[in-house]
Amino acid sequence: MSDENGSFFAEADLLGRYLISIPPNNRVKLLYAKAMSTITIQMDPVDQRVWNMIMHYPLTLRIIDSGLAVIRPNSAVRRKIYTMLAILETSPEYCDYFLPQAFRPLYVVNVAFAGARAALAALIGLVVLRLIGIKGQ
Amino acid sequence: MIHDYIVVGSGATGAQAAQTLVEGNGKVAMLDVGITDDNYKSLVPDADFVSIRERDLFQHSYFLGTEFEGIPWGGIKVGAQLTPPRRFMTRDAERLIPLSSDSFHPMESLAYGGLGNGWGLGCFVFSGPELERIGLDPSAMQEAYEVVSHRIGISAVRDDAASYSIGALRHFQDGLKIDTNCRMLHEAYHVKREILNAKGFFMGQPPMALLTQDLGERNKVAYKDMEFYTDHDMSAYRPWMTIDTLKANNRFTYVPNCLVASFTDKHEHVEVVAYKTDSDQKEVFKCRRLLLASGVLGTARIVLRSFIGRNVRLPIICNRYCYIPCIHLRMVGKPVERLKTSLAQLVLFHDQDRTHADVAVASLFSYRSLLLFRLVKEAPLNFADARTILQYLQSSFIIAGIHHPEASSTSKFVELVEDHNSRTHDKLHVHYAMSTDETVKMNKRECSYMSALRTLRCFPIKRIHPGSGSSIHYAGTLPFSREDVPYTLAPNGRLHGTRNVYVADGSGFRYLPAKGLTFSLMANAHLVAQNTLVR
Repeated sequence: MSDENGSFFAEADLLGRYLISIPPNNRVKLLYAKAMSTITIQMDPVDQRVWNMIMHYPLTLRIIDSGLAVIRPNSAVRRKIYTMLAILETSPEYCDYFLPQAFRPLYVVNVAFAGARAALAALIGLVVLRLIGIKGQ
Repeated sequence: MIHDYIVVGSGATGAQAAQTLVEGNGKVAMLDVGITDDNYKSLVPDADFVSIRERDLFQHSYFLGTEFEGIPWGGIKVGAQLTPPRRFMTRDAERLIPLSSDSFHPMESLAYGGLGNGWGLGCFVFSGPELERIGLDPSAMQEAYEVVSHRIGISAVRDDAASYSIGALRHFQDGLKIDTNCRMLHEAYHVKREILNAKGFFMGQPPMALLTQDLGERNKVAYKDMEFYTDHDMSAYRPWMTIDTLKANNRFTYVPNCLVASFTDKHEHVEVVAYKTDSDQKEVFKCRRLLLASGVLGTARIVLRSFIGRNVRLPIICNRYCYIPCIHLRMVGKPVERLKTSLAQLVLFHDQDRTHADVAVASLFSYRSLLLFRLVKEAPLNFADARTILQYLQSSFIIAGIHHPEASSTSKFVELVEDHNSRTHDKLHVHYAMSTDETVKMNKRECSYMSALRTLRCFPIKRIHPGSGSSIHYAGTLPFSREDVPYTLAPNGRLHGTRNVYVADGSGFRYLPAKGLTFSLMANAHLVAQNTLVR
């Protein structure tokens, strides 16, 4: 495995765990690596700084993504996450994370929790981005 | 060799015109660039959407594209809604038929079957007042609608909105099944019907070029929810199906790789100059009658070049369009059936004064086969939580796509300008500006629509305007005129200033009703072809 592919695999693992809470399989990681080589997402210095921070401190991913969704929705960092989301969605192993599901009371609680968590993460994300000097596009 | 007829373009209008000519014993040559999909056709399996999602390991190749071109990013672009297997429709258009504009972003096609490859299949009959405003004869069009309906197969329902959707159309197949989401919305409409009717709103099922009974080699719809990706069972009508059938007839010749540049009317015959797109060689064809059906913008280029129309401005009309994602509260948490269609399932007409002369239409879609990730991108939330929330809400999404009627004005025009980088040394430039009155009226109407949707407990989230040109409904560059004025068409479709050149696409339409125009374009193309046979 080349260094570049190794780094894409690490990214894919991190993004997969973030998006669906489980590590993605190797097929998905390979697809992500292929997508990154094909699309060649250009990162400006601001995006690169944010991306480096995420790779060093993976737990910051949710709050940074939340903050960027508000002030830099088209950032290259979000494009990477978005690409992984699209690949996961079109992988049969993970289709249950995307197709409409039957109603369950616990599911509603889960959704309500996700909503509250998203709002809180956005607030914290905005503060963190401001602290590290990231401004809107 | 002199052909009886040359038809330029293989889209919806070219296909219908050619069929009419061949059935009338004419010998027809069709000149077309004819780009085909060499990549995706074999990749998409013949199965329903959910089965594919659950089983196919290679689904990413056609849902996202082999080059991941189906993962949209950045602003809203015309054509962004095309799925990877449909993108061949616009291939090479920018290079071969360049266009510039700051205010208008159209979609053009050089594909085999033209824009019809991505047509939403709505087959609306224009009302008498609408046809008169366009410049068409309502009684002749009524007969032409029947002919086209027989040919392509239309499913429809005579319901509350029938006077707006199918009018007096006699021949159609049974209506399509609608999914739970739209069925519940339709039920809500019936409960609130009096209130909505009083405000000029009428809801029904759209007539669609989608079979509910087998027709020839085409199968009835199997509700696989894959209409945006494949035409496997041929239940949805596409113009290439007509051309494929015509190719078996010895009175029809299909000439691919031909980009028609101009014509010269020599009174006894017409000379047509084309460039071969595979060799870049110039080639001249001769015919007794020429029928231009290369789309409104394509025909404008050919006519302006032929008349050396530099500094000539032709009017253009395009329906303004906006779409509104909504949450249908009654559907939250409800299961979605496996088998359904991806296409518009309901339409909501707005006719404030009930004259049928100024009608807007909202096509209502459930959301699934365009995949969740496209929705997630629109939410101002982190992707992980947005996925969880929208997965739950997905079954309750209704997308309302609103089309407004449109008339021409001096601030909407096309002209041919120099461009030495293009093969023909020119490009089309479009200027499209709406007046304040038009903008105010459109805004007011969209607010009325949002209010009507709320009445049905279908709550709009936001309003998205993809910009002028995005409706892919274009018309009016060579308006119908009874007077012999340059750059206009006689009522029979003949281009004024010529004896043997006819226009079979929407270039003559002086007005653009909001209802999808493809069915009317096909009916008009049939009439124009008939007119050339009669002479």
